[in-house]
Amino acid sequence: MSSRAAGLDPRTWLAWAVAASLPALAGRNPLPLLAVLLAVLGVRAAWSEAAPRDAAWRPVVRLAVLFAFLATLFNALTVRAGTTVLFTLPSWLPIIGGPVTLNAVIYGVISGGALLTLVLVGAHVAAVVDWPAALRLLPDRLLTVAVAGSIAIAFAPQTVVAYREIREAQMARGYRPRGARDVAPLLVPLLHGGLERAITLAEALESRAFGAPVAVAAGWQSGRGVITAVVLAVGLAAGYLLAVGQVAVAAVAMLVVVAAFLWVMRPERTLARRSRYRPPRLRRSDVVALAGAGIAGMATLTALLTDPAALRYEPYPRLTVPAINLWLLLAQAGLLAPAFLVEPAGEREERGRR
Amino acid sequence: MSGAVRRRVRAGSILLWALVALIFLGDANAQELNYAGVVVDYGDGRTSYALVAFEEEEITAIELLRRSGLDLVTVSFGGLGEGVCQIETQGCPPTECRRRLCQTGDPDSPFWQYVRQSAPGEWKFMSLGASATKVRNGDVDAWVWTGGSPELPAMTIEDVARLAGVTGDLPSVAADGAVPTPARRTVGASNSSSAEDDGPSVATMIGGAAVLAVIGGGVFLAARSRGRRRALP
Repeated sequence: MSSRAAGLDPRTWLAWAVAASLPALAGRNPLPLLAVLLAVLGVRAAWSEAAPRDAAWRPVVRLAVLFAFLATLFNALTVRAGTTVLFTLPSWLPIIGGPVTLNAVIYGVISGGALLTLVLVGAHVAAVVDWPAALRLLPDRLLTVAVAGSIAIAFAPQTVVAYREIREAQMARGYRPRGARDVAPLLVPLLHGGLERAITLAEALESRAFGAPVAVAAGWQSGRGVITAVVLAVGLAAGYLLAVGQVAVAAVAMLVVVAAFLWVMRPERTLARRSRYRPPRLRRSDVVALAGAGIAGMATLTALLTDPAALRYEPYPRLTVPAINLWLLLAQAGLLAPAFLVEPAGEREERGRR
Repeated sequence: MSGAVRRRVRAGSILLWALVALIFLGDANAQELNYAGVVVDYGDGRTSYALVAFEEEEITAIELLRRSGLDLVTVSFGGLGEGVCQIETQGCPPTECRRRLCQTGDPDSPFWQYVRQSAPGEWKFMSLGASATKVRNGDVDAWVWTGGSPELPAMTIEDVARLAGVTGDLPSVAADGAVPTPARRTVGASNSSSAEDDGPSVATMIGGAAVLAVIGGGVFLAARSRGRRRALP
């Protein structure tokens, strides 16, 4: 089933993922984080039946919940800052001895929530996006990187599916796990199957000339290495300048890097061009979802530039009420738009037939 | 009771009292306190002075600062010790502190500098850091929020005690054996233009809760529409 039959365009989902990830990456203000988390949960709930690989990503989400809990525990037991002391652990306890503060617990909960939000966004997009369709949207020169990326994204769900199949097969043979020693009958075939799949995939890619050098003009061939090194050095310098606060010079350097990237990515006449049977087009539902994601993303970026406190929160040394930017919170509701754009299965199949 | 027995009892009781006296005398000697001073220059016109008493022979400078009772935020750098991010309201949050100890790309951007007097009026930067530097009786430590060279007047432990509000003798051990709480005082008014943030107003908080409730309602509607789709034949 392609993504067109399932609903939204891959570009829409990727834009939605970027917009939904921004508040968690920009700071730890719990209110925008909560708004985004609610919106993401709503979208996941609405799309759970339409997402073909949703079940395969559930173990990753469970793992994220576990890590969110561990992050809270770790922060509470190792960070000593904060004025609201809950209790004090004996000082003879290594690492964790000392006062446990409510400030540290709250910061741990917020950080765990941010981590969970990012994983939920990533897992949902990975489950609903049709990756072959997404790959076809990339420039020809990025195809090698894109194929490698798609293989990496498919690794986790494939492993989960293989694990389930192996477990079912072993249980049909009377296998009953009782302890750590009993995992060998599961892990050995899993490893063997994984290696076999990797070799088959490598052979398939090799037979299709994956990674073969592209024929380019002789003059360009000689200077390509030097230009690549210079552009990478400029990009590195831009990152350093940005880190030390030289924003203006860093912006100029980044513009140079972007210009060089666009020049390199321009369509080459000597390359064999990919053809499309049906060029992808954005539908009305895509436009609505893109508008929602755009509003949320723009609000976050605007808040980052004009009101950074609306995205940041530090509960140290005293607990305070986080800053509230109502427009920012309201804009995050736009992320909920895809939840109302799921088509009933009957309509979907009908449109697929048309 | 015979005379010999009475003499033995008397001698025994004298020995017992002597022993008890020795124990208490020894305990009193052990309870002798050491004092160190802490000066905190917030860089905005305010300065805090604290006189801290401690029983140990020596403590670390970070422990002295912690015992001063000032609100303190530090981050741990493992074996390198702790870095001071914030004292009271001055400084930066731990996330920024972990990167560059509150400094930005500007060479003059301030950070918490830890200095100690090597001679009257000569404040020396303690490059070992507050976790590795030991504080002994009579030392005066200073923390200055600046990006340049710290400028502080000459200061003795008596000056710090006076400025911290101690009048007369230095505080001694309480009757129950407890170490006295540190004397502390902040002088000067902040000349910083940024006023203390009182947090959002009640109306804004209600508005925020309403927006979150709207998004929650949207989630409910989305989940409900999914249930309806499932119920369709």
